[in-house]
Amino acid sequence: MKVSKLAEKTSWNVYGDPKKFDKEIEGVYVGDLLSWVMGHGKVAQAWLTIQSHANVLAVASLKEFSCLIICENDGLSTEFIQQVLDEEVLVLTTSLSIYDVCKKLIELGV
Amino acid sequence: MMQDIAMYILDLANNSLYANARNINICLIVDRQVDRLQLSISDDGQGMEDFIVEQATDPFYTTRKTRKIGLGLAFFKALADQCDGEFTLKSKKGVGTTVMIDIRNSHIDTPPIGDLSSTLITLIQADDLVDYRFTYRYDHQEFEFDTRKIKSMLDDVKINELNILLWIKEFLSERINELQEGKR
Repeated sequence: MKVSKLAEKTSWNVYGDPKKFDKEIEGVYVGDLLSWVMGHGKVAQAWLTIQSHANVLAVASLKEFSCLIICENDGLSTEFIQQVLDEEVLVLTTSLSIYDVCKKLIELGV
Repeated sequence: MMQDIAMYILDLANNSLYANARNINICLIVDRQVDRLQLSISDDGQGMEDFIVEQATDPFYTTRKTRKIGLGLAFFKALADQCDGEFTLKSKKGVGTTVMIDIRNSHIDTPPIGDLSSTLITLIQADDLVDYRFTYRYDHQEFEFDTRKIKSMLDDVKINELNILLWIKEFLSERINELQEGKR
């Protein structure tokens, strides 16, 4: 499924350049320990985490994840949103827990 | 950020090696009474210009280029922010670099110490021309290990030969365990 389709099918907030949202999601990776995600995440996966700071974007960018889904989130700082735009990472946010996001993704066939 | 303190040591000492350091000092202090954990790594590598020091903890600074230096510094700083701590990075071009954190030992996000002896062995075996001093203070006890002292005892044998490394590994594990078990 493409990131744009996922954004359309959910009511999750979306940040990033709309032109880049046709990236294909190939699998999902879940984790908050950044060094672990660096070592185990794979290109084009959607990455689920609860963290929202610059290091997360750096990891998402390095690993070339298709998108970053920030869970249990109740709003991003303006500084973070600017970094999202600067680093060309596609970010979705939701107040759902990681578990509920996983269930949703499975339901959608990601 | 990283699983344990030993991983940070490995990552940051790798930065020192990349900066062509010949002497690397690693100092770890755990003091449960004042509830602090301090870790510093200082080297005599090529050092950084002031403007690079300012960018060094910006995770995007290193991602842009070849990434010889990883996200270690950015993660190290984040660890300090996360665990009621402070992060210090001092560097002078041509002199060397010191990086340090001072965090709350009992903070729930403070990672475990990890496997220090394996980490040190990994570093020592990589290059026998680099010297390490490792100081570990745990509460009121202190242990110091210096590769120069080991080298002075070795005649025609290199410090990174297998049997020497195995001996050092055992020695380090033993002393580190003693220290952590609080045999005061």
